[in-house]
Amino acid sequence: MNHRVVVTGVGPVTPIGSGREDFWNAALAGTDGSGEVQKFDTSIYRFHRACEVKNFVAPKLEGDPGPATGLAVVATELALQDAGLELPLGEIGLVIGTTGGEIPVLEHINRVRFEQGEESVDRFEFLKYPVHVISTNVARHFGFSGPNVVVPTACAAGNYAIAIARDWIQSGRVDMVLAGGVDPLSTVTFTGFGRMFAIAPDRCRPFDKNRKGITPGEGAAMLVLETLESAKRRGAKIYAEVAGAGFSCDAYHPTMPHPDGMGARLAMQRALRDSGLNHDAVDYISAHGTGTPANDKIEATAIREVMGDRSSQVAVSSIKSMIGHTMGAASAIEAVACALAIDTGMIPPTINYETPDPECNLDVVPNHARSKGVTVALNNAYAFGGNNSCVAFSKVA
Amino acid sequence: MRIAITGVGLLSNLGIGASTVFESMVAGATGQSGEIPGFDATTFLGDRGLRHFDRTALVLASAARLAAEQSDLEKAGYAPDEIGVVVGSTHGSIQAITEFDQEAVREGPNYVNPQDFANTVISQPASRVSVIFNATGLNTTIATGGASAIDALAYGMTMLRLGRVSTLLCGSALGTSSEIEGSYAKAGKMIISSNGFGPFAAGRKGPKLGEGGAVMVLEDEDRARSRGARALAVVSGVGSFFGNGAAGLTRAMKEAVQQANLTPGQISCVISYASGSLHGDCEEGNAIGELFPGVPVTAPKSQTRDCLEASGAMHMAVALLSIQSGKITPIPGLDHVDSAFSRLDLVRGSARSAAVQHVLVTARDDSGHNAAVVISAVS
Repeated sequence: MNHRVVVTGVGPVTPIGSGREDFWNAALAGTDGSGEVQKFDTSIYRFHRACEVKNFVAPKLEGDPGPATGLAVVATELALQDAGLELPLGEIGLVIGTTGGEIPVLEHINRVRFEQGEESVDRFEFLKYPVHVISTNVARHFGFSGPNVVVPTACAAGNYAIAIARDWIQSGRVDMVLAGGVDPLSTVTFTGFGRMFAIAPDRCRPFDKNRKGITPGEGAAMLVLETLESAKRRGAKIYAEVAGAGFSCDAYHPTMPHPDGMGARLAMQRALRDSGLNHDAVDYISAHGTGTPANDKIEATAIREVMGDRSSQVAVSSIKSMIGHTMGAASAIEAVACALAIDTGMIPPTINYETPDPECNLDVVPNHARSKGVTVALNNAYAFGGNNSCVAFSKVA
Repeated sequence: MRIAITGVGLLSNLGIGASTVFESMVAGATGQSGEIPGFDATTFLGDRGLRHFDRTALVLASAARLAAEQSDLEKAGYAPDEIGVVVGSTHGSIQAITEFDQEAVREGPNYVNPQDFANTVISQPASRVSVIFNATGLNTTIATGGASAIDALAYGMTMLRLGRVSTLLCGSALGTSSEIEGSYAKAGKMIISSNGFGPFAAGRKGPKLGEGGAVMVLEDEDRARSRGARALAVVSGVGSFFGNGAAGLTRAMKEAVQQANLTPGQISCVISYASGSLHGDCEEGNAIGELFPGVPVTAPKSQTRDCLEASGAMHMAVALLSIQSGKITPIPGLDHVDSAFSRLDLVRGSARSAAVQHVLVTARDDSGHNAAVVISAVS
């Protein structure tokens, strides 16, 4: 039993727009989602910009869970709507990737401790923090009773979630899974990347010679994944097939990528092999493209090695230039971009691109979206600890 | 593909090393404190490069070293990209995470040590193990609360069967943490006082936090044999089910037994996740009593305390040693069993000798995550 797995619904919640249409229109228009941080006071930081989800109305949920749950619930709602699904759905699987999960809950606890003392901390507040509560909250809200997992593999977590969902569906364990990723803006993340001087002082400019770092972001995306048969049976709109996935670990450093791009290369090669595709089938790569000097250079090297003599013909863009680095949500939102690129024949740009870098010698789709038929798209995502991932999407003929 | 366990590393408040811990358990010992006694990670990992490891990563990596040594992994002939690391963890390096944040709140965000930032991602302990073993094949962390270790094992078995890697270091650890102990105690989920009673006891008031971890080396049984490694036991079935109440755990246990091609009557003993929690023990006891009448049941947390997600991995190690030794570990000090569990054959008093062929290990979480695994003799 090896079912084919397709994407039939997308629910992006991003700094440039939420829901399929708003997100995609904004992405193709090259919208910059960054601005001065609104959620907390940055006067004591060296950096002041982030990509926040604007006008987000947190849903009222039982037990008043943390902000990650709120983002994930809205993303799930949007994905179900987009897929034309109605509750109750019963035995449907759920996999959510995240970097910090409900870490703003812990940050709040620590802030109260510092300002008012331990006795002022709500005695049940900590229970909202442990990372696995997100998928529990979402499953309870929607009544999903299928397999349920959180995969906290940092900034590559969305890809891990999609791959786990694909394994479950392929093996026949379950017919349909909601998979994706989520991370709310976190002061821990802002502090950490700030101390590493890995935040861009102004704009995030992936692959640009003058790139200076990431713009921290927040968001979520959930995708409805199901068997090809089930999609056809219910006459669902099919955006793309999840053709394969590849993973690797640099086994090199807690935060830095392997200097030769060994792991990045291996993940792409494995995703292609898993899909039964050759490198020359690839039309588009949604890059990890964080905008840090190290990542973009190493990723470009890895892409050139895997794509060989075709590297100049492959369109490579980083939507992190628009939505910022949304951590565990990033590769889920980027997976949505891959599916929509295949569906619409449009490729979102890398914005803020001014000065080419010979060390990132790629066609980065600078500043303007491009009309181009996409049959196969790769979604790269890397993480702290050298966790590398690549998911391949393809057009369903 | 039958999946063999060729090495196991275990640390707990009863000692360091699987046989040391197991012998203490068989002798009926209970840990005097919640911490691993005399734990010095440099014994296992050398004294270089450990400065920024948090306690959870140190325990995990030490357990991995012990497992790898037993299985002779480094001479096994696996290429680095054939070796993966899969960890079950919900709390990650929580003590390091909260201390990083507290320092930023207290001193200001420009005064934290950037080297400590790496520990704030839940997957960092797993990644540190990959670096130590040059395991470039795969690195995944799975979080389902208390069920994490068994769900991670299930994920790892899928990776082996799909051929994504050929061998895995698979396990879980929890370093001692005042944040966890204090916060759960505050919420009434744990107790700090010494007066505990323990799993299945009448008048139990809640679990006490322990410290520990276990890692197993997993590989295809045939491939293990061909490289001359000894299979210590095999993983014959896993089950996982999301849903509340005893029914959820029952579903997971049934699935594990079914996948192992066994009937409940063939299970030699059950290692329960019961911790001394008022509510959780009831779900455990009811589900186990219903499905496994007359099967001996033990609860290692009576000896090791509750190591949360790490317990699942530690209990798999205990299962393996029970199979090898023909001994079922006891629940010491269980003088008054809660009458709700009168139909369970609890291993009270001292350890029991038995022909142990198949051990079922449970793990669950109040979130509704339930998992079970059957570890079997190689035969």
